[in-house]
Amino acid sequence: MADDVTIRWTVPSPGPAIRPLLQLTAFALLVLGLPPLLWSGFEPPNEVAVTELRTSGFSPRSELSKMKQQNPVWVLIGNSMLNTRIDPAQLSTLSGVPTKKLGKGGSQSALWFLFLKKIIVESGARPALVTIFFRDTDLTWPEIRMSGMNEPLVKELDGHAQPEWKLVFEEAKVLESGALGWIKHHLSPLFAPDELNTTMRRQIQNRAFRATRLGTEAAGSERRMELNQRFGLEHLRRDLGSDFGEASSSTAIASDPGVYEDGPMTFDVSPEASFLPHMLKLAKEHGMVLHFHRIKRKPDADHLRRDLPAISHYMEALAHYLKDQGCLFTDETNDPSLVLDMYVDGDHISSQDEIQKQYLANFWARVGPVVTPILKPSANANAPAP
Amino acid sequence: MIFQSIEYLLFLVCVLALYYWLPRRGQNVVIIAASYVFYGWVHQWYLILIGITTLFDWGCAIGMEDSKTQARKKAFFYTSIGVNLAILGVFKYFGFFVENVSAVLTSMGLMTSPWLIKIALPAGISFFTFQSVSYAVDVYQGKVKACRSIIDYATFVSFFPQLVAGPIERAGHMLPQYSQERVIHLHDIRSGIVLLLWGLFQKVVIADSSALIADKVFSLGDPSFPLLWGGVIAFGVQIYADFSGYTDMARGSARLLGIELCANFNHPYLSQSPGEFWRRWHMSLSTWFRDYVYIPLGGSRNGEGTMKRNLVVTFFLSGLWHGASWNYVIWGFYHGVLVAFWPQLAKRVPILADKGGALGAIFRVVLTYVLMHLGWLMFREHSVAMLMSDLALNPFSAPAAEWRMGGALALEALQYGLPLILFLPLLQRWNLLIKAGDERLQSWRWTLAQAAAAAICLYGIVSLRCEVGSDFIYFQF
Repeated sequence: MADDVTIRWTVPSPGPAIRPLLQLTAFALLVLGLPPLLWSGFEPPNEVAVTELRTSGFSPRSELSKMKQQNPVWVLIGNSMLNTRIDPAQLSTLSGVPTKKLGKGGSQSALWFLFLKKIIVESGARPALVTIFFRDTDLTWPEIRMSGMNEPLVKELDGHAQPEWKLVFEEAKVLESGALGWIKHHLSPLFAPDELNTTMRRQIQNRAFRATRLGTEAAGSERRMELNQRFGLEHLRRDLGSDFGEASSSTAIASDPGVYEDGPMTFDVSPEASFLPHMLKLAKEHGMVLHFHRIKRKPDADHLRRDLPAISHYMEALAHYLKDQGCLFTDETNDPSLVLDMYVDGDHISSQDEIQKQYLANFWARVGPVVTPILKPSANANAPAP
Repeated sequence: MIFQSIEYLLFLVCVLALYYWLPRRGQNVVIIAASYVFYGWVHQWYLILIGITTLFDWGCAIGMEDSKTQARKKAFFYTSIGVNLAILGVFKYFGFFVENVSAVLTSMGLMTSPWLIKIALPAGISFFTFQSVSYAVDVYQGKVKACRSIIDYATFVSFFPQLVAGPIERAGHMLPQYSQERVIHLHDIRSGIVLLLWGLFQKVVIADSSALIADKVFSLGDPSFPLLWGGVIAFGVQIYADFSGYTDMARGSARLLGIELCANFNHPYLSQSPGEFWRRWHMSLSTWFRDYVYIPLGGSRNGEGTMKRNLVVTFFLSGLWHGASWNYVIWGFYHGVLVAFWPQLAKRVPILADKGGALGAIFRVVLTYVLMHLGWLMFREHSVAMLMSDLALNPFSAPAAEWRMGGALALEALQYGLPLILFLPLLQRWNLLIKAGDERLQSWRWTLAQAAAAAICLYGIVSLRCEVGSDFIYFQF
């Protein structure tokens, strides 16, 4: 009957039988308990929060009350891409309508949806036009930057209680991969914030840069960009096939959290996939027109910004979809007048007055004709027919 | 199914729960069922292949043992070997063979368009066929008895922790474990968990981070010497952590099931000669080739010249085992020549032999490291034309900026690889204690040490994991 004895759990001969079980329990408690204790006190360093400095003092409560007071005709939503590009006062002068900016560094589409719903709509203000500044696949990549430094803002805006939020972040996971997705989602709070991962990996890279004097003269992000440019598409092998080239380029850039071509390349507008359809629905319900403005990311030395083929396809599909939905869409990516010298620190535009003015003039020249009929419908109606 | 997934974690927990609850006979059935689920997770059709191999080799081994005449025994033996090699040949080498024959005929003007035959390579085919071949040889030579239980034999062939990428086990080591009652100490569970987490750390932190660097460099069409070598060093870290990580996860999973797998690595980058490197790297494959190719070829029995030939042939075949591609052939040949001629070279250059004290040892370690990495360049670069162009790169023509970039890439990869040196001595000490059945393992001190090690691994996995994951390199073999 030896076969009936499944596992012979052995115990140390002199000690009590309970000791091995106690040891295993202590082992499990330590292994599972120690890491969360280690990362519980983690605060993202200043390096990660650089974009925060550009919008220090962003408070949803204060923005809500300003929105009520100002009752703007034009509202612009975005992150540091918007903050480093647009001065709302100057834009207001150009457009001739009260303009307000809801720019929060490090924010992404999930937060932009909350700005629209919990600040603009809730304020009762009914701007005629809401412009959203975005980079590449931002609009259909809800997961990006949705932990760590943005979490307090999500809580303040009551994000987790919103049905759209639950659909995109919770039910979608279940729909996507069944019970396994649900388990993954519920396990995720046990893991450390993404910023801890980003910070520690960046420290390793910075140490290598410093040791090789690669990062002494300029900022780390500039050096990373230089390295990424060395691994740009024009330097890649042609014999590996387009898929490999794209994947390789994508992973090369993914090493820098400031740029992110590793997002979803397939344009998906199902309600559980992103906040884009929810933004559109909300805007329609409250009589607002949405305008999406794609910024030109930092160009190469020849001042051109080349899209990966997958991004080009994505953009075509996005533009088509937005047009069908009655939204406005502008894209400055192929604008040759936005030259490399205007950029600092990744995709941000320099804060020098001259460059800011140049950018704004360029922006208005491109966007003005598209948005003016919405901003000033009466002026448009009185205008002579072409 | 891959080890570094939540699917595997849940799968393992379910298997363990069922396994601990059942009697031994049932336990082996659970292992077989689990192994078939594990292997068939993506391609169910491959299960037919492994099923046929299992039945065939099991039957042939019994046939060998029961044969009344030597001729009959030989017939069973050659049938078993032939079927295994035929499976390997069709699935792994047929496409390569056809491609090359077609290229030759096309270049001679005898064909207008080359044949394109693509046969999907079942994961781990080289591992389980080699394990089956070793079993057939051992039974034929009378080193092990034919396994009469199809359940135990199927467990030996399909055991999921080592099915896809080894270690390549021997029947003499594994079959007794499968046919006995399992004895699982609670400290084995602790050390199994530590091994699993350490293996996962090696994969998702060290190997994947280095892969990011190596993949970038090897996708360049115009690499400079320093950038290329930054990538080669990163690949050296990647392949070691990738394979060693897989092995540790396999050993950890097996230990939780009460099965002990053999070690596969022993500080290979601290070797002082190419021969020593191969005694420390992928040891289960090296010993397999030693026992089933090198020694049957005559080994070192018939003079130095024959020994050199046997070494070159063995390494050439080892290269071909890694993949049906010319770069693996070149890589195998390169190592064969290095191992065969190193002793002769060491006679002429004393510092290459065991001379020069500590400085001499450091010199030999560095030299061996460089030579092995030259090998990794051949291993990683699949295009022979690109390999030739890489080998012709001039270090003196690269600008300073390229040296800084190459240096930064190499240093980044080496930083990720640092725990491989820091952590391994501790694991090796544990392994020694486990082998000796040392009572200290049951002490509170060791429990806390193991818990601290596992917690550090878990913390490292979460805080340093690479977001861009990749498959295990050895899955493709």
